[in-house]
Amino acid sequence: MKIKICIGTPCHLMGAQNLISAVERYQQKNDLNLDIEAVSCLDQCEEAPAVEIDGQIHAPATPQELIDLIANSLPSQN
Amino acid sequence: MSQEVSGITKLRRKVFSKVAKLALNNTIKDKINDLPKEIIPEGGLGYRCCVHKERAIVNDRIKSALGLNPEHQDDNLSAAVDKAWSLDQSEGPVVDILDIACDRCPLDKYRVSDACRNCVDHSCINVCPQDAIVTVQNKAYIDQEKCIECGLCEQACPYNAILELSRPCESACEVEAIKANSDRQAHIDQDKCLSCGSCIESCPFGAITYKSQILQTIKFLEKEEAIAVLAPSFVGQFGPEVTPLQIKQGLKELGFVDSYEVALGADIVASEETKELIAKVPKEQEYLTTSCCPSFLKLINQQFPNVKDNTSSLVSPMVAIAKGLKYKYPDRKIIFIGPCIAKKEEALNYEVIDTVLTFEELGSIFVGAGINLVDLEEYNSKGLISDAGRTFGRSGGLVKAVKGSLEKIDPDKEINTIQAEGLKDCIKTLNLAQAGQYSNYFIEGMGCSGGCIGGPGTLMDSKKTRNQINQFGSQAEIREAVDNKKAQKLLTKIGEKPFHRF
Repeated sequence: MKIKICIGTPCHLMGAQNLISAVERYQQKNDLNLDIEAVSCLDQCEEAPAVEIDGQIHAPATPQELIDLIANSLPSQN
Repeated sequence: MSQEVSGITKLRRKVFSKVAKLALNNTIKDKINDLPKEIIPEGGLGYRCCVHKERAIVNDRIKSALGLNPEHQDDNLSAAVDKAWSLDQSEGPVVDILDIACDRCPLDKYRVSDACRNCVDHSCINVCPQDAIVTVQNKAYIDQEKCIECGLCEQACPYNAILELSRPCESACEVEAIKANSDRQAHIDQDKCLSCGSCIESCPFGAITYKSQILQTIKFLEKEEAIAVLAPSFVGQFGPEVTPLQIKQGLKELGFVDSYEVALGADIVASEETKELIAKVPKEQEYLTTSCCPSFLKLINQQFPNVKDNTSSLVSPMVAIAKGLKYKYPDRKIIFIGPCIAKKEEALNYEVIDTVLTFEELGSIFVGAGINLVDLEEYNSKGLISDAGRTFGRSGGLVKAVKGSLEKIDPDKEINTIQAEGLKDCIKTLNLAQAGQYSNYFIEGMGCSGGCIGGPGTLMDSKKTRNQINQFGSQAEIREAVDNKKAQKLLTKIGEKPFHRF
């Protein structure tokens, strides 16, 4: 799974760092190795903060929504 | 600031960004009346009873973003823009209550929770001097008509079943400047208010805000030559990936003719303060306190009259650098950009500062101008700054700067130091100072927890910026303030007097 988190100035003001911290915490807690990239713009400035998961844009995203999206996209544990 | 960017903070930043965009595009007068509808879409955001109330509140937020008093204004925002353009400063006090946004939180201070066991002892009933507590449906009940809010029942209950409720704004304010009127509407006593911004962060309804100077700054950028001066805590505010030189490049693209680090002013202040410490402590006085935090200084002036004479005579680094720059460029406007709301109030006392922006306001102007700092080249800048000056904006930075300069000027002198951060800690330290507990001391006082990096106008978690600031300091060409030849040259050229308050 490829996760892009926008850290452009509009997204930064709307809490992009909270998204990064949340994903890092989630990754650590669940011992995952996610492919996370901080990108400079996802062209969603009006809907900041924006994330992209496997080519799909989600904006605006809250930390909880992002974690739910990742959890739902992971292959099931069994 | 706290780690999470709240919905209220996002809304404030959205309003700031939209106002900045319209002002930069010169369409503000025509389009501002549509802004409440744009920000609160049909159906509302679900924060309040209805879309009309949400828009009415946003209307007041916009007036505050224009630098105007949200109350006593025409609801026609276009007319408000005319008024705001004509002002060089914002109007009235810095921190305001948006009356219609205040939820008038309930006044009942003590309530019995479900943890009440209706025990045999009934210590709450026994201890109450007003006979205000009775048992109703197997549970203690406080008659609010009789209760005098003494708190004895809360202390007496062995189950901690009696809760003390207080308004978040009231508990956030360390100087009791915010109180509810008899109609439960919160009200700020502006004489007491230290403009620290704690109440703004505390109110979950977003009913407290600060006046922005975005519009006035954009006016200066368009019509005059303006210089940006960046508080030491600017490092890392736009995220760990954005370098200090990218921030300076962003300022250039906004139209600032130049930008300087306030750290140069901090070098002037620290080296002069060191000399003052050597001259006065312990010969003339037992201790010397810092004077660069406006909330700390106002707190002393208001509540600690005996400490007043022991404060450093220096102006703040913001004022010091502005004086140096105005001496060289008398016609240029000086825009201070920092983490602090209280600086807006401090600047009103000094003509050398034209406007004060928080990092949040600057970020909103970048957004309004479509400038994405991550993509920018690095600004080519030079300037002599010390490590000491660059780390001034975090707790312990002032002690470090003065100790470092002291080591150079008078290595044999011994002095004790103490750091107070956050107003609660400052009040405690000042009480001890007033009681004569500090002998041969240098006292550092910063109104925000963590120092300036914890200020209400910041954009990053202070724990992260602290490391970045220390790193930026370690890259400085020189270590100590007193070794900064540029700062010393300014002191020789202008004289020491302008840099002292008395």
